[in-house]
Amino acid sequence: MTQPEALVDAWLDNEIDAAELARLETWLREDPAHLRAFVQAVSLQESLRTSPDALRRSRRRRIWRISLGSVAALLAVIVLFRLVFSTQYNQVAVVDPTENPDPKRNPGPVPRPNPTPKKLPDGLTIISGDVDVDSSDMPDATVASTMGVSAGEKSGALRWKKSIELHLESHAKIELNPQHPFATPPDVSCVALNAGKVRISRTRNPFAFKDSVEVETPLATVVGSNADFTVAITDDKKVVVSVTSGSVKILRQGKEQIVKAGETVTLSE
Amino acid sequence: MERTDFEARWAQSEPQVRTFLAAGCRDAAVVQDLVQEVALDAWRKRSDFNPGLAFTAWVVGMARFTLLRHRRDLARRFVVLAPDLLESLEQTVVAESELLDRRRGALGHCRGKLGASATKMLDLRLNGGLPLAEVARRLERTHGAVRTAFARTREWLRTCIERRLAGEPVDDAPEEAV
Repeated sequence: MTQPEALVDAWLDNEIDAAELARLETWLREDPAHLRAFVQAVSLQESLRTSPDALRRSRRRRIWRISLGSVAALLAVIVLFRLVFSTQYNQVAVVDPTENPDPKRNPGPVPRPNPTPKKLPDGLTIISGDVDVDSSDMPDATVASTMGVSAGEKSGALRWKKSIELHLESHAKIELNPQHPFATPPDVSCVALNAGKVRISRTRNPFAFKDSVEVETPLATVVGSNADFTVAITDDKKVVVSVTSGSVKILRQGKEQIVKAGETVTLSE
Repeated sequence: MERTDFEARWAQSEPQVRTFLAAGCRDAAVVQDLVQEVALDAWRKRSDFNPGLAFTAWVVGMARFTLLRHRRDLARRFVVLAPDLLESLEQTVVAESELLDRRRGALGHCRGKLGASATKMLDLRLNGGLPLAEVARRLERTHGAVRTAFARTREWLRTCIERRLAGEPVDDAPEEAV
């Protein structure tokens, strides 16, 4: 018979089999003192795993991995870009009047748009319309913080994390919850819908990560991976989920419901 | 709840959430994902939190439901304990929270007394995420020898923590013991 200490060690070493797991569970049920000893052993191991030295080392490793990956990706993009655009430049003479001013051919300065871009959080771009982003509550610590986004009289659209487009109908209100900063991709992008209607669609950027998107509503959470879908809160507090492409999962009271492309589901209290 | 308030409370309670999840689920990668899931859940539901109650109990309770939600898929891989035990573990982690914090504080001192080989072994296994067999290969030792070394290291650290909390002196760990 294996000693309880050996069972705990096997659990901590991730080497326990089904029979040992059953014996460990029996031993844990026998006495609250066994539970306390088990919790202390697990806590010790997790503290070793997450000591400040360990975190620093793992962050350094991650930075190296990210750096090397980024350099490789950047080189690939540059090569592709040059291949595609060098061909186009050879075929078409591109003339920019502001770079090559010729008073005969170009009687006056070309008026250029003078946008006054609002400072937005990293990864967030306003594509169109009337959208206000409250980013005063920016993440800078160990937990995710939110960005409030609301549409005005007109509808508006945002791009988030390069791969997600959020189309807000007029007066829609959402919160964007970035993932935990230590998370590794693919992560989950969380949208809390407080009012109105939001349509989630995926950009066609092949280099972007295809993360899951969770839309949290007062009645349920809608989870979509690589799906285009709409979630709306009606005036009578119902939640309407409509899927254009792909499929989504509705999580509600511990149950799951799959909604496929072309289907619409209405949830009420 | 303000962001800074939430962050301070989460920083205080996160080790207990992690301990509970690791006690209930043996896969470290899954535990890491679930810790993040609980953090997000807690942040999203922060308005539900009653400031008069213990934050640790609130988030550890949330961790139990998170683990139960994932149990159906994970159970096939024998990585999650039975639901009745998860409930008992939740109560134990919350009840032992202060003691666990004190033990964690003492661990920093004890870890500094480990020899170079034990430190390297722990680093490969826990921070490098390598399975025991791979740790053994890298250290050019047998699987059984590394498993025994781990068990001895844990036992030495446990004894060191208890002596430290009792105010007794602690010698450096003998290199050959680990």
